[in-house]
Amino acid sequence: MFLKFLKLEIKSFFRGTSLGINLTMKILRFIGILYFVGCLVGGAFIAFFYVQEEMHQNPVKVVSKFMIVAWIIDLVLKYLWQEIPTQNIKPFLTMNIRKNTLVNYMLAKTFLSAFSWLSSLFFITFSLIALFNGYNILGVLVWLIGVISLLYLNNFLNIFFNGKETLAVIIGVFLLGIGMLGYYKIIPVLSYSESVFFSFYEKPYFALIPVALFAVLWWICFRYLRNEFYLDQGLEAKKTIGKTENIAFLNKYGVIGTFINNDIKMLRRNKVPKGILLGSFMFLFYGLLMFTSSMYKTPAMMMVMGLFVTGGFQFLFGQRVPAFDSSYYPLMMTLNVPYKEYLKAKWWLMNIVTGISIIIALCYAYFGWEVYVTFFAAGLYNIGVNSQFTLWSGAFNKTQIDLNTKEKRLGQKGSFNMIAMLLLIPKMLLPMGVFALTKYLWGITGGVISIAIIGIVGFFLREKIFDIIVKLYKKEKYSTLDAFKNIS
Amino acid sequence: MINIQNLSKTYGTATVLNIEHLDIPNGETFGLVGNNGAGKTTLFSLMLDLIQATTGSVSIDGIKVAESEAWKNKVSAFVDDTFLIGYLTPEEYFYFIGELRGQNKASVDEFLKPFHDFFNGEILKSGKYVRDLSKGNQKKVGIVGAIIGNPEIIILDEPFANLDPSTQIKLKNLIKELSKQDGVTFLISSHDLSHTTEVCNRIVVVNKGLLVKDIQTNPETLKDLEQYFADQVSVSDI
Repeated sequence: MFLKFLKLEIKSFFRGTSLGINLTMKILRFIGILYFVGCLVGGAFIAFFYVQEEMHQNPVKVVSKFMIVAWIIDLVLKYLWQEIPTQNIKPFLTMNIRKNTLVNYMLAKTFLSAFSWLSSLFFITFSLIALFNGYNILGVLVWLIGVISLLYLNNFLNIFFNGKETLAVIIGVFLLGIGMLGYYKIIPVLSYSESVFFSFYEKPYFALIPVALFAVLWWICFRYLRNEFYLDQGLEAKKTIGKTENIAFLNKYGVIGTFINNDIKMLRRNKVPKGILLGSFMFLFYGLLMFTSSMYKTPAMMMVMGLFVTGGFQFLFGQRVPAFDSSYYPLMMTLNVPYKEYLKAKWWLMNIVTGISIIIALCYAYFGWEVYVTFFAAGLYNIGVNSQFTLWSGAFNKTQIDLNTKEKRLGQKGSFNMIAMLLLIPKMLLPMGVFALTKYLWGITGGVISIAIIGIVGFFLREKIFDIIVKLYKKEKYSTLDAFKNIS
Repeated sequence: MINIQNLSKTYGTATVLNIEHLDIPNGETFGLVGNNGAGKTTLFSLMLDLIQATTGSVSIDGIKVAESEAWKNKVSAFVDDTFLIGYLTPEEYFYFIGELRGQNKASVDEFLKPFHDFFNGEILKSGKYVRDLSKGNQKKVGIVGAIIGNPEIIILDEPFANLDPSTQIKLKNLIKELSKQDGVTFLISSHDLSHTTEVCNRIVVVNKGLLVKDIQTNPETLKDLEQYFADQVSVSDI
C-alpha cells in the first residue's frame, strides 16, 4: 500500500506546477536544492572539523550543546510553514483502503516535506564524519537516532498546535522566556542541553527516551487524527468567520481606492501574503546590520540598508504584483478597468507603505542624523524609481500563488528570473554608485540631494514609465493568464 | 453587436475553434451548445480577450477586443471560479465589482434587494468568505456579480450547472426579464438543451470547433437539438 502512495507522492512532486514551468527554471531550482544540500552537508563538515581542529573540543558534545536551539527553531519553522496535508487525502476516503492506513499515510507524509528531511542531512553527514574519525560506533548511531527522532517528533507537536493558536502563543512565550534566561545566563540552558543530548552518546540506553517519546506521540497523534478523520472535522480546511469591512475614506479615490481596499483585504486574509507582511516588517530592522561589521558603514552599503529598510514591502509585494491576483486574474482582465489604473493602485499601495516605513525609520536617527537622511533619500528613491521598476519585473513573474497554502513557499521561489536580476542594476547598483560617488565628492549633503533628486525626477516621470509598463503587461497578458490557469 | 471574422484558435496542430463568420446583434439571447471540447469556453475566452486568436478577430460594436480595452465598459462575464475573489465576503465581492462599474455601496445594496430570494438566505450576511461557500452558492455569487452595474453584454459559461432546480427556474426568469426589459445581450453556454431552448432566442451548436447549426428558436428546436445529439451518439457507435 505504502509503495503505491509513494508512487503518487513522486508523481505529485514532479508534476507540481511550480516544477513544470520550463527547463531553465527546473535547472535553477535543481541548483538551488543542490546549494541547500551542499550548505547542510558542508555545514556538517565545518561543524565537525572546526570544533575539533580549532577549538580542540569534542564536536559531538558541542553540537549536543546547541541541539536545544536547533530543536526549537525546527519546531517554530514547522509551526509557521509546514501544513498538515489534509486536502490530498480526500480522494482516498471512499476507496478500499483502511482508515488506519490513511491516518498513518498522512502522518508519514509530513516526514516527506523539505522541513523534515533537510535537517536530517546535516545530522547524518555529521554522524558519518564522526564514525570515520574513530568515534564509538554504537554511541554515534544511537545519538543520531535520538536526535532525529526528537526532530521528527516536532511534526506531531505541530499537528497538535495547529488550530490551537492560544496554546501555540503560550508555548511561544514560554520558549522565548527560556531563551532569555539562557541568553542572560540565569539558567545554563545550553549546558543542560549538552548533558542531555551528549548522554545519548555516552550512555546509549538514554536514547530510548526520545525513541519512546516519538512512538508515544505517534500513537497519540494517530488516535487524535483517527477520531477526527471526517470531512467536517479534522479534514476540514479551517474556516474563519467572514466580516464585511471597508476602509471608507479610500472610496473617495475611485477605482484606485477600490483596488487598494481589496489588496488590504487580500494581505490580511490569506496566509502567504501574511508571511510577506511579516517579512516586510523584518526588513525594517535590516539597518541594525551596521553594528555587525564596519563593512556596512561604507556609503554604498548605507544606501543598500536604506533601500531595504524603507522598501521591504515594496520589494516583496511588488514583484508578486500580478502573481498575488493569479487565482482571479481572468476576472481582473475582464473588469471595467484599464490596466493602468490596476497598476497605479498597486503603485500607490506600495508607496503608502514605503512612506510609513520612512516615518518608522526615524528611529534610526538615534544612531545619528546622517544615517537617517541617507535612509530618507533611499526612501525617496524607492518611491520615485524603484516602485516602477518593481512593477516592471513583476510583469515577468508568472508563478501562480495559491494564496492560502503555506507549504508551497519553499517551492515558490520561482519569482527569480533574468529580467528581475537585470533590473537590480537600476534598483540597487545605481543608487549605491551615485551615492558613494556624490558623497565622496560633495559630502553627505551632496549625496543625499542627488539621490533625492533622482527619486523626485522618477516620481514626475511616472506617467511616462507607466505607459511603458502597461505595454509590457499587455504583451505578457496572454502568457500570464495561461500560466496562472494551472491550479495545482 | 458582436462580430466574429475568420476566428480560429490552434494549439500545436490541433485546431480547437474555427468560425468563419458570426454576428450577434444587440438584445439577442444567444445560446451556445455543444459537447465537451467543442470549443464553447474557447469561444468565450476569445471574446473576452483572455486568449489570443490564431487568426481573425472578435469585435464588439466595431472595436476589436484584442486591440482596445473599450469593450470592458459593456461586457461582464462569469466563466468559472477564477472570476471569484475567494477571500472576500459575498457583499464585499459585489461592492468591489459594483464600484468598478460606477456603482456605490448604497446602489449595490439596492440592486441586491430583489436577490434575497435567489440567494435563499445562504449568501448575504452569512459570515462566510466566498472561498468557503458551496459550489452552487459560489455560482450564484458569480452570476449576480456579472449582472451588477447594467452591463450591455453578459457572458455566462454553464450557468445552470451546479444550481438547484428552484434556482435554475429563478435564473431563467432573471435572464428573460433582463433581456426583455433592459435589452441586455446574453451569451450562454450550456449542456442543458431544454433550459437553453427555453431562454434563448437563437441557438448555435458547435462541434469540434466548427459551427454546425444556427437556429432561431422555434417550438421544434428542442426536438431538433435532441435529435442532433442523438445522431452524434449513433454515428460514433457507442
